Amino acid sequence: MSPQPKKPVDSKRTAREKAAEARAGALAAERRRDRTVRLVGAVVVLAVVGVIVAMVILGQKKAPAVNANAALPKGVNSVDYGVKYGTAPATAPRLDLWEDFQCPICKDFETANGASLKALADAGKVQLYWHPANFIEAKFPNSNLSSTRAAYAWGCAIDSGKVTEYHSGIFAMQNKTEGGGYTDTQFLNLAQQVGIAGNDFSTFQTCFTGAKYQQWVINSENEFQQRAVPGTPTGYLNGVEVQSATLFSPSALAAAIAAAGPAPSPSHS
Amino acid sequence: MPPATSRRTGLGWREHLPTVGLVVRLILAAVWLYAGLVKLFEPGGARLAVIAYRIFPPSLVTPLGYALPAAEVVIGLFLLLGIFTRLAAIASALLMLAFVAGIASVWARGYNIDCGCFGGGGDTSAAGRNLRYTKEIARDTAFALLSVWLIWRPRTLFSLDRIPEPEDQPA
Repeated sequence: MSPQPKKPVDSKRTAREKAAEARAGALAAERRRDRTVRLVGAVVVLAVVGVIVAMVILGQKKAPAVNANAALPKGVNSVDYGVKYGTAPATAPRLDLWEDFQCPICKDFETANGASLKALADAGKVQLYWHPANFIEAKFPNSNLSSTRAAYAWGCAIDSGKVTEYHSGIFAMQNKTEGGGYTDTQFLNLAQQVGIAGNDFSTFQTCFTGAKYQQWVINSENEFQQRAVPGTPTGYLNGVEVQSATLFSPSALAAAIAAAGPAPSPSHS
Repeated sequence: MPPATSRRTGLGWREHLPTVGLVVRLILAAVWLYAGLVKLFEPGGARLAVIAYRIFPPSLVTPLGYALPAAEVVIGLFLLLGIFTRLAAIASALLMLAFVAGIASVWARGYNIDCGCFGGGGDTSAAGRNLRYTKEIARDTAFALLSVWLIWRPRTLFSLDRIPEPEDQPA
């Protein structure tokens, strides 16, 4: 400790007080400055982010509007636009499947489960409902709306009674590159391959080239969005999402269906 | 008055705290700005990613799809400018912990999702899932720890704030 210089006590205190006052004044000025900086900064930041968000939202491409009067393939209901397959009574468990025809995992799902689900539905063990989505084509602008076209081609085939044949046929000819899409010729050829012939084929051709069921696909995609279905393929058994480990295993899926009770009424996911 | 040299040595490592703080602040600012802007400019914002977590009801996923990236950009800008540093750091730490909880939750429930951390989102294949989730949780935990540093030491070099926020004052 350095030796204290002899000074009158009061003058020392005054010096200290003065210094303290100066410090307090400087601090208060800094505080005022900081308050202004923060306020201006916060206003600018919030305004910038607000404008960006507004621009992004306003700049969004509007989804095609739902039309309640859409033409529907045979047997499709206007509540959820699902394609029902099989002869199961309303008391059987209900399995809703959401798929996009351009989704590679949906192809895997179809390869793994297509035959076994068809058998279960044919045996009346499950009410099978397929729901087409088309969100993948938005990611692939060069795919020529292949998700939608595939789904409405399928709709035309449903009218000819080729529900499962055409459905699995589309996945079988899926492009190895995601977003590679389908050609119109592929859809027409597939119709002939699954046995749509003669007058039925002319009807199919008119139906497909006229995009008769395009609005149905748009309505179904809207359901997909509204329900916030997490992706494709997604399955709901009596309205409860099926875990992917179960969904992709034919035996586990069959067991889950067997263990499920009757579909809740009104049967809706 | 004590000699200047001894005072300097007395401070030691503490002298470098604002510099460390600056680095931490800029790292977090870059993370939040990048993550937020990427999501904001995707269709629906982070909607797809939010849906994949299966935590929020359908009615909330669209608003959250925009609110989440917007909040991320706000945190990023506050940190970049160095205003409301401690507040932004608290939000940053909480949000990172929420992401860790979200990823742990989908992992525990057996879903295979793209965390959508920096855009993207939705379901994905099961391949490499455990390693992927582990890495994401480790990364977000590290970011949360960086945020905790800023909560502890909100004074950083080159910030627009010059004095500690009120709650930083010694009592």
